Amino acid sequence: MKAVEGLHYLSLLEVGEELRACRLSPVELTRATLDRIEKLNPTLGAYYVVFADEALAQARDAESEIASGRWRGPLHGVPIAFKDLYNLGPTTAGSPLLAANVAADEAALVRRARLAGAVIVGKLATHEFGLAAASLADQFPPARNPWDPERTPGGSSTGAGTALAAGLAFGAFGTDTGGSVRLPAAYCGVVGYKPTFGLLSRSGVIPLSPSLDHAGPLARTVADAAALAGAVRGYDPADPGSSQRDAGDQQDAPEAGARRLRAGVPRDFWEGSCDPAVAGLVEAALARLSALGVEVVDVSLGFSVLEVMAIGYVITLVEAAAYHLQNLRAGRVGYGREFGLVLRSGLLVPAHSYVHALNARARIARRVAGLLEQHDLLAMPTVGAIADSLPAGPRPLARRITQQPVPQYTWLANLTGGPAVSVPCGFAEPGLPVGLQLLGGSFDDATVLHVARAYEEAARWRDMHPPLWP
Amino acid sequence: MPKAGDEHQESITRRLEELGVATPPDEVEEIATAYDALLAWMRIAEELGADEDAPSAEAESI
Repeated sequence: MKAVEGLHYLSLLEVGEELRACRLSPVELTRATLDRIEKLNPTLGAYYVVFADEALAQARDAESEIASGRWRGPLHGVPIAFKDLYNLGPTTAGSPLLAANVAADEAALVRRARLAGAVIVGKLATHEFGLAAASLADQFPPARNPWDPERTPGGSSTGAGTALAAGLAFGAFGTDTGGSVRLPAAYCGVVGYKPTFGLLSRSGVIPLSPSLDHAGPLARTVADAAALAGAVRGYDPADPGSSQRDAGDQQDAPEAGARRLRAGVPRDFWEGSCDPAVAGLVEAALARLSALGVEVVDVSLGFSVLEVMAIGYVITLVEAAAYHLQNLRAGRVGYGREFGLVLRSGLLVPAHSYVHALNARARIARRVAGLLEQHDLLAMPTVGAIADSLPAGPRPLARRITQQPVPQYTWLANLTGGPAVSVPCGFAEPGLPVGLQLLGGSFDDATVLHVARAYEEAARWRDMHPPLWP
Repeated sequence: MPKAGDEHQESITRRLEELGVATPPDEVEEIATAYDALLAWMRIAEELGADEDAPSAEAESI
């Protein structure tokens, strides 16, 4: 058996292979992960709750199954975690409203991860109900960015980004309504993958905006993210958005993905809004893609990031307000200030504006589909900024509802429903990670994953880890 | 000294009351500060999402 010391930054597939070959013990790996969580979580706040005893029991089961030749797949015996929007034991959605809530059942993806043999070590921090920014004054301490603990890890899957970047899990499942898997991935220097809408079940996940919500994995490598999604994907009649279509094999060799592909680059979408340091790293990444054989072609999206975000937010505000209206009417106490204000703002949006936003969404999706008829994927920054400082208290509503938002280019793929991956593409001053985002056509997840993986292999940013947490 | 959004406070209060959602005055005040931006988002939605096939006076049938 291999010693577990120093394995915390290995990829999920690397430790999975060691486990499969019985060169590594699931119990020892889980114990080492729990020890690291115990040591670092008080500072980094990735986990709200840790299931130490249950995780060790799952690891023991995995050890005996693998030893007897019943290996279930790459997640078998590997410590992973779920964002605290998934029903699984104590489930708070990061809100004092649900501080005492214990889920009566388990989310579909939790059950499927268990069937795949994963060891579930805990629940990860989140922005309240997947939206309101965590602050230092919250009842639940905010997760911190491992590259600079005074800064946000990005949200809303905050704890997932922190856990992957600090070696506190080998994979995680988050949720993504406007970028909540890809934004923390970009800010923390890890991979975030939002699969095509309908591929991963959202049954048992507390919703924010059901027409935009996606489940998705965060991981340290693209192949890990694909493996996590592959282990749990598939039709689920309990999720009205679930699709019976498949997205093909996502585990191909990276060299199969890059050559002879065309990547459209809609600079009109980010120029003028993106931090120049971020834009410079993305341009370098595009040059790298070109060197890998991808034909990189300028295209025009025809919509600004403000327009895309405005459409996404109008839909989100209305759908979130509708979901929470009963609680608001009943005067239930416990919503954080920012989230309560956001919900009330959603109630002020008239029905015709919601319909206009849905029509606009369809128009934007048609434009992207048109571009993807001529190109295999689109490439752009994930977010046009580096991680900001953690706020001392609730953020003013005018920071959320604004005509000058932090430019989140992630919303585009939530409007289209197509796949999108954020992969690290370097570091901007003062040493904070930046993400490159690749978008594809619906159910063509394999193409964006292949190109992301080819880029990752060539650029090797994945070998960089936060120096504070060796 | 008037603050941004002051002119919206009365209508915001009335709308939320109609929906049965009690809202303290300080929260109404903060919602009002962001209301112009919310209206701008709704204008964007209308510009991009208005139904181009909607009947107009010019398109009246014979």
